[in-house]
Amino acid sequence: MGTLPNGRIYPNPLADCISPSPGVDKNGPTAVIKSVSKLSMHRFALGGVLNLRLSPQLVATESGLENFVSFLRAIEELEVYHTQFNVVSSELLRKAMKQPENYMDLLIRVASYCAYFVELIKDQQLDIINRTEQQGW
Amino acid sequence: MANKINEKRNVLSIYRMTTHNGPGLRTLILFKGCPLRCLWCSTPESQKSEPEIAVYPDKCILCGQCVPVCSKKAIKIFDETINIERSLCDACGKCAQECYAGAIKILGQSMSIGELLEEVKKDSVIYKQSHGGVTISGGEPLLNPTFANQLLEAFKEEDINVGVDTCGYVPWAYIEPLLPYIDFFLWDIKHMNPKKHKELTGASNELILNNVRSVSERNVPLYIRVPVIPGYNNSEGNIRALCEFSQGLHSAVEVDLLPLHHLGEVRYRSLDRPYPIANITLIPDVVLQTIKRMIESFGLKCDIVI
Repeated sequence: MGTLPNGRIYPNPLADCISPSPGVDKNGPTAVIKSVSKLSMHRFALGGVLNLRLSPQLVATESGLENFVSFLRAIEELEVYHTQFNVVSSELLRKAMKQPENYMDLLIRVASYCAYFVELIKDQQLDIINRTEQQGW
Repeated sequence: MANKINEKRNVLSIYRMTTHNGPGLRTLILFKGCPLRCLWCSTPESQKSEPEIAVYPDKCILCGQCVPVCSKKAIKIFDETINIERSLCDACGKCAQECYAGAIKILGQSMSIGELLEEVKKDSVIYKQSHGGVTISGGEPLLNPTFANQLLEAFKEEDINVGVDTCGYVPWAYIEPLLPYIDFFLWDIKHMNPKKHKELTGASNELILNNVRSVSERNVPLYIRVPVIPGYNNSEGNIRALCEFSQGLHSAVEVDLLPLHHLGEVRYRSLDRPYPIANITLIPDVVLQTIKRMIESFGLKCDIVI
């Protein structure tokens, strides 16, 4: 399949396994797991992997970890077959600064305030990178 | 119920799976319109109730499609981007509809109670697993009491846990009828001195403090939230007064600190508004920890929300 009008350039993959195509995840991880849960996984002979990004701020505290465990239980209840979490590292954030078109759906959760990383100005992005590095990710 | 679900209010955004908006993972609804004008407001687009136009010049691809659709002739292209003459703009939103690149957006979308309920119900499995629910915020979620009443009643009919994030600057008559539908409040206390409160937010604090006392007497859990703005409200005297006040609130669960951040600057820019707090530096962590320890010395639980 050639380059598509939605911006996906040949020969990049259409999507990362059963994860959303780049740029279409606009409603966050709960929307993603609900969409994926509608797939009939028994029809996938070798299974299917959902890759999700994990913000280090989410798991930095005990209550954050409890919330993450709740999220995992929701995934289990929705019978999503296999989910992998990649921590949003400072390295990933630096890549997003250089190639924002590949990271349009990268949501930075700053407690109750959410922002798409690529929509922040450069100083704010560097601020978040510094904070991510300090937290050891 | 049928006629109620069509009542509408302007919504700024809906965020799913948020933390620090009450217990568990929560859907956060931000409504447009606020009675206060806090100096450090990081969501300036939530202040006015009406929809507003936001401009992101970096995204402009200079196609010029927005210029002819503006009936007020408010849009011009120069300096390699679009420029909107705000005094002519009536925020009709036609330019935002035309803009493919996303350089112009209309902020504030009218949504009905039925639509909001449908959106909130999508994450029921997450609320169940995390003991979360919905939190209404903004702006000021209680600005339209009839709407708030019908919305919260609709949430309760679906057994959804309800939190209200309020500044408290509304008549008690707006708040009292809602109490049966509210599981907890997130309640801002910005300054304990009435004169200072008025300088910093546009209104004095007597009504706010009376309301929070009345809510506490009705035993509705309160998460007191303190935006910490260095040089403006972080004096030992103010924090001490706040602790003494909070200690007297029987239903206070905790006192949370919200340190100043500058993530809101880009939002002011998009509205062509000056950023009022550019010169305020961020509070060092060691100072925040000192404030946290003082609050804890009063026997109050304290979380720092960043």
